[in-house]
Amino acid sequence: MSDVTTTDVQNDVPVVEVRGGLLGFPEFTQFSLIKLNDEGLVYRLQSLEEAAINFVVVPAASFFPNYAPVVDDEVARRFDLESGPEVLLLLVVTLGESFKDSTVNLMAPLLLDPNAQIAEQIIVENNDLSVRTPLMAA
Amino acid sequence: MLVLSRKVGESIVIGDDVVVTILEIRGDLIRVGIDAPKHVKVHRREVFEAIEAANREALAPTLAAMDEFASAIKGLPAMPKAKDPK
Repeated sequence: MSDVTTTDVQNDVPVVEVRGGLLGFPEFTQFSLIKLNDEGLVYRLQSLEEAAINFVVVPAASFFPNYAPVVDDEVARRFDLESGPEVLLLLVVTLGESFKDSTVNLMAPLLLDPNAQIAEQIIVENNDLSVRTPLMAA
Repeated sequence: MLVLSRKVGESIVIGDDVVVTILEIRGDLIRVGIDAPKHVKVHRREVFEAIEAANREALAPTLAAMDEFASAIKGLPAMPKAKDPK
């Protein structure tokens, strides 16, 4: 088990390989991460293979500074979490009717290595997290 | 679906390297041990399905909704500013 420390990305990442795809969408693995606001607080994760496959993601650290996902050792090894903090945790957002109804998935964040341009939607080991946490609870 | 009957302590082998063992039966609770290579992901089905459902719900927001969301975030007070990567 490892805790995750994170970095930030400020720029678009034109090609990201999401290994295994997002859960429920395993066939789409090539994405582009596009910044939607200047502060780097919102991104669109857009499939390069199918235009209809896209998501809004936000950096976990910006909204949930106390978010401490625990990941299994194999994930930690794949992302080399022990030696470098150069990973970013992104949360998949479900947009609500209005901003305050929007929720994020804390159970299954995306772990992104912006340098290697590799990401993965991981399932964290914490038992007390929800797949639909109000963003405004941050 | 293949259906097999097993007793406590007995196992099922799946493929070359996944072994599922019945460890304990207590009332309607059955403890199962799973030995699998590290690259094989093992999760409780309801957790897996909840995440799939959340992903489907999050899929393909409209451009208008995305724009509204991005501008709502911009208007939030005291939002910690993302750090520069280097």
